[in-house]
Amino acid sequence: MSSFSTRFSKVLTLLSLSLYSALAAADTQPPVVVALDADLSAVAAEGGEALRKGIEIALAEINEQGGLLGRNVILAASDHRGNPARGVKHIKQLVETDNLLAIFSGVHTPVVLAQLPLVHQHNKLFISPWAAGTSITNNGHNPNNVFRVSFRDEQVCQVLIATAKKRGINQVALILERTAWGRSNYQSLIAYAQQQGVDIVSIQWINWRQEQFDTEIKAIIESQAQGIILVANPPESVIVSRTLLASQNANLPILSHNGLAGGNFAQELGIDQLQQLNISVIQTFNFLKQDNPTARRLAAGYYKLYGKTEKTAIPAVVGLAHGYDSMHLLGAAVEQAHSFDTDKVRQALEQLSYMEGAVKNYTQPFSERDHEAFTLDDYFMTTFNSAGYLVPVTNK
Amino acid sequence: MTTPVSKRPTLYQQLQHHIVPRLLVSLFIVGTLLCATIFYFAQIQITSEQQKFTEYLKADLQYSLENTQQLMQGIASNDLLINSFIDIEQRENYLPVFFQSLKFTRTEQFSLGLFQFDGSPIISRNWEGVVPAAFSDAWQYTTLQRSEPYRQVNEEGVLISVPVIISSQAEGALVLFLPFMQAFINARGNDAYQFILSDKNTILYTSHPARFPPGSLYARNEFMGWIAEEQSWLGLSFISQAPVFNAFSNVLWLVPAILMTLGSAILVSIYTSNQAARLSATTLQSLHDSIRQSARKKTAISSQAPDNEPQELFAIRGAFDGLIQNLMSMSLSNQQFSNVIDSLEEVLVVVDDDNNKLLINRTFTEYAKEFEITDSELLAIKRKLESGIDHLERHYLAAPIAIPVTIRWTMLPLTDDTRKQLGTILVGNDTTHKKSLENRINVISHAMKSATVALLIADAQAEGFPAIYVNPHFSTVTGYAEDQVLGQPTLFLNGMKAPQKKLIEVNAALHSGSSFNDTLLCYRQNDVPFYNQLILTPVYTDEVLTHFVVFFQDVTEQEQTQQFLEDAKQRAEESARLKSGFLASMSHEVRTPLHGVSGALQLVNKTNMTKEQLRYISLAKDSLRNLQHIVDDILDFSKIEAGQLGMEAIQYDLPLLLHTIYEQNSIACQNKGLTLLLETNLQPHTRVIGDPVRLRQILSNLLSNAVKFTEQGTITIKIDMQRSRNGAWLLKGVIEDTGIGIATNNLDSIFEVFRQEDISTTRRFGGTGLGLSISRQLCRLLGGDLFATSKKGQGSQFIFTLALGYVDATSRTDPSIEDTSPALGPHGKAKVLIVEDNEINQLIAREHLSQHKTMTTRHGKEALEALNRMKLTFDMILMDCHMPEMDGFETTKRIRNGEAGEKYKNVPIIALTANAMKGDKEQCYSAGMDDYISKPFTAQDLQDVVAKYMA
Repeated sequence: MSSFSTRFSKVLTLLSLSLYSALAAADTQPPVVVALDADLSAVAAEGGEALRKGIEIALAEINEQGGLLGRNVILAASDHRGNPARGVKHIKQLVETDNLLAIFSGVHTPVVLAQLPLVHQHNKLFISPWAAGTSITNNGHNPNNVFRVSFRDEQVCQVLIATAKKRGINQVALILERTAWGRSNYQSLIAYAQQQGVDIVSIQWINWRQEQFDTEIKAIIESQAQGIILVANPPESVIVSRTLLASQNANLPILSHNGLAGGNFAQELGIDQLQQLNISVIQTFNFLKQDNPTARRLAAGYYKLYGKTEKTAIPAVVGLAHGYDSMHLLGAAVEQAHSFDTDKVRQALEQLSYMEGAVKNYTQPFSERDHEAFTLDDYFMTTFNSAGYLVPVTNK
Repeated sequence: MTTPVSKRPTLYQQLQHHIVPRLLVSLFIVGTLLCATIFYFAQIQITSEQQKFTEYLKADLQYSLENTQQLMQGIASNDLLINSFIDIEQRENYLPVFFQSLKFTRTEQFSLGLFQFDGSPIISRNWEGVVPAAFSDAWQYTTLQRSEPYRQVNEEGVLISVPVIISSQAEGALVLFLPFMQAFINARGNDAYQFILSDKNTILYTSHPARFPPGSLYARNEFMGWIAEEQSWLGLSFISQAPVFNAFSNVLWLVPAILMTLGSAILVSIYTSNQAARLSATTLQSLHDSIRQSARKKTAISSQAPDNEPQELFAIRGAFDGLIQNLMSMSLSNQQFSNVIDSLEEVLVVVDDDNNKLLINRTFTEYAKEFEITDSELLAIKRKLESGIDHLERHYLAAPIAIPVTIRWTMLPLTDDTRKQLGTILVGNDTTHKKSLENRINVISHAMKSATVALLIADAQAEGFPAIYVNPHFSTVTGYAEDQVLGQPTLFLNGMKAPQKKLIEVNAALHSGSSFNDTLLCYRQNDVPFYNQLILTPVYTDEVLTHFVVFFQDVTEQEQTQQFLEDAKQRAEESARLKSGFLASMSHEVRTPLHGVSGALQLVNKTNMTKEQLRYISLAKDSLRNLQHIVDDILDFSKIEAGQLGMEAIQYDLPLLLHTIYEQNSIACQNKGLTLLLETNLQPHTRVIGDPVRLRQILSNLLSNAVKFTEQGTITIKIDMQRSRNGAWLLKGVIEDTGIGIATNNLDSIFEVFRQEDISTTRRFGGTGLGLSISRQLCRLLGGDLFATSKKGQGSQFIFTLALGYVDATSRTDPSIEDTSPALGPHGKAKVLIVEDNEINQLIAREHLSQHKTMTTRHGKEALEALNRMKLTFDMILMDCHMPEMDGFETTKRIRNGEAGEKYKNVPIIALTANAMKGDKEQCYSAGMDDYISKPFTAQDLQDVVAKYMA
């Protein structure tokens, strides 16, 4: 127990020190803290890292412009490894942190859902730049402190079903992880499939760290499914893909939720295996698709902080863009509210009128009733190129 | 003074005295040692048994711990369990059921808990208040912080924890606690008292839980004097023990058994020694008695031995009996001695110093009587021998008719026991016969020594048949001196390095005692080889093989001559082979350029030319035709020489053939202003069996000669069919001309090779001079002959005969050779693939077939490629036989095997080859080709064959 709090403090202290020492000269007031509690080392580490980098790039820009309300902003990152219990523990520590402006959540919906009560209990702003569970924003809290600059399962399911239908897949099988996230998608998929006249012919659940998936794939094949909608994290997605390959049904189309993009799916599966499969992944951001000035600024910031690389090769790139945009949206709200107070910033967020972002230009991104920054128009399908990187699907 | 018999102890008493006490002492020592050893090893065995039990106990505990830990690790990696860490919403639906289903030991008395990363419980069973708090710190550190399994065994219980790993780090732990170890271990059945004790001597496990309840303190003094083994592991003591009495109870029953055995051994020993002593005494007494009896009776018969008398005593009795017998025989009579000396062949006289005869034998009496050997003669002999000479030979003549005898006298002293000379013994041997034998041997030996044939005598009865004699000529021939050869085995053939194979044969002859005669390549001493003719003769004396006589004769010169002749023969044969090989290649090499020139001329002929050019071309063609004839002649001749010209036996239409030849030659005759007549009398046989090509050749040859040597007048061909004496049909042909004629004395020589009538004829008429020779040979090969009659200046007659078969007019089945030529006429365009490596030949073939569609490839590989690649289908393939990369035979085989595709498996393939030697045609057919055109061929030949296979 003691060691975990120690580790957490260490991360925090190190970050604080490095940023603080660089910026301390500019301001005598203590810096404002934004926190990121995400999986930085386990199943979706790439997603967590992308979020961290996105936020850091935005912070670098903000601090360069003089910070928020004249105060430097620093990021405190903690690693919950996808384990809700760790996430809850981190929130308990974070709510005690001085000068905390907001908490950014990570990839995993189950962790975010476990953290929600505590966050609201302590009236902290909670921003989800990745986790997509519908009930994260539809959480029943009033006031609702959660804002999302990311996928919403309800929307994702709608797009996936529509994509399936557009591709002539009228009989679809579902593979869902056996968690709150899987169930969040399950409800939406059932609803939209019925609405669109797509038959769900098989529903298979997969446990975290499940190793065998043959029986389930066999059932899917026998159900005459024409395609699969996959809602799982990278490790489980790899198991599903391998089993599908082994069953000689590699050409069965897979329409995947963004969960697959949160880790190193392509490397784990192997490029050769990947090439044999027909996988499409729903995305909101890709440097090849979004070529706006903000996206270019994001790329420049990335190169500056983390070195030059192929733009398409940046892992879990939606995390980078979401983190970046959400930090700027938060910054804009603080400036608009002219306060760090949770209630005032929340109201400012709900009243933001316009901001140019990397994913899109946000026009009234949130309202009192709607804390979702994205609409159905913001989604598009991608697929893996020969190098194993996601690229937008054209002509489809 | 020796002790009197009666005072001496008996053998029996002495044996009793010596043996019994020692026997008893040694039996006592052995008994004691045996008992001690048994007890010693029994103790060692019990100790090692307890040690083994201790090991088992330790292993059982270790196994249980390992097994349980593995089971727990399996559960901890179960995906449902892992999923429950994430799926906090709904895990209550499945985790408790899953958790309750887990079972680890035989009892239900265990505690199990699933913990979060921070040690807080997710679900537990029988945990609170049961698991001592002291355990938790240790497992939490090892399992949650270091992600490793943890085990603890102490007096409070057994605890095992394993991490629940997500992405190589513990996110939780599964922990098992057992308050008692007793139920944890499956005891193995043995009667030892086994314990596992904590460091505070508390009993954690025991094999006798009823007597020593687990949890109580272990009292060491209860087990004083037990055989115990103890080990410690994990801070625990493992004890296995058994009471001493138990240890020895296994062997105690052995003690009375050993004592009884020893007692019986003593009794038996005393009894046995008594018996032995008694038996010895009795036997010795009986021996004594029988010897005494024997001595008293003074008989030489053996004393009577009892049947069961021991070996040693029996030997002593035998020795005594022998001694008595010797004494008896000492008195054998002088009569016997006299008999002995009388039976001697030698003359024996013993005289004393005063020359009185002390003893004479019968032989002496006889000789003395016959040859008057007087006392004075004896005295003279004695005197002479005493003068120091070793022996003395004296000749005696009896009657005038008898042959003189020679007696060889020697002398021996007669001495008594004290070596004092009592007289002289004179011994005379009659050596007359021996002398004559010696003379005879001397002569033979001389003959052998001076013989000029090498001679060796081997002993047939000694091992290895050693040489016992060689004559001097042997040394002359082989160079080996006598002493190098004598005693050597196997006729010294090894020494002369004779071939091993021959040695085996010689040895076989030696062992079977048979004679042997062969020539062997041997080596003289100076290593010069020579051919050695060996004649071995066995010598039998009284039907017993005693010796081998061996003659060696140096036949090197004969052998060399023979070898030379054989070499010469081989060289001649080789030369003949080379010649035919050369001709075979010549045939190809010469015909190929000829074909080139011929084809080129044909092509030029097709172009527009001036009259002058046409005339030159015509000249060139004439020269070429002549050249072809010459080449054909030379080749035919060579083939005949090489025996390679095979005659065919096929059906053909004789009148048609004759008519054709007549037609062909009549043009040449007309040109020269000559008349050509054909007179035939063919009986009813128009279809015959024979070689039409050769008949045509013979006729053409004779006709062209006739035309050549006839300036004016008539040439007549007369053909008759006659029945020969043996009933076969014979064709008789006569070519008669009115030419220059041949001088009578030249009529035979014109058939010789390269011979025309004279040099001037050659100059005047040209030609190779081979034509007639070839024609005659052909006739002979066809079962007939060719000869000429002529008168100089009045013309010549060439008469030839050939054997022919005929066919019944009714059984006309096979088409005649003429019939096979296709009807000429317009055909459609054929698609022809030409496979030919020579560019000129390619060009010619292409040009000749210009009205067809052609394609050329340079060798078989290209052809296969073209056949596979080209979309159009070729109607036929013209195939050269000899090409680089892949020859025509191989290519044809591959096409037939389908390597060019199914559609070409049966495509017509026609060989184009300059090879004209016998066997080429067969090779083409066996490779799967359909037909065969020999180069040089004409445009017509090509067009005909294409037309034939187009049809």
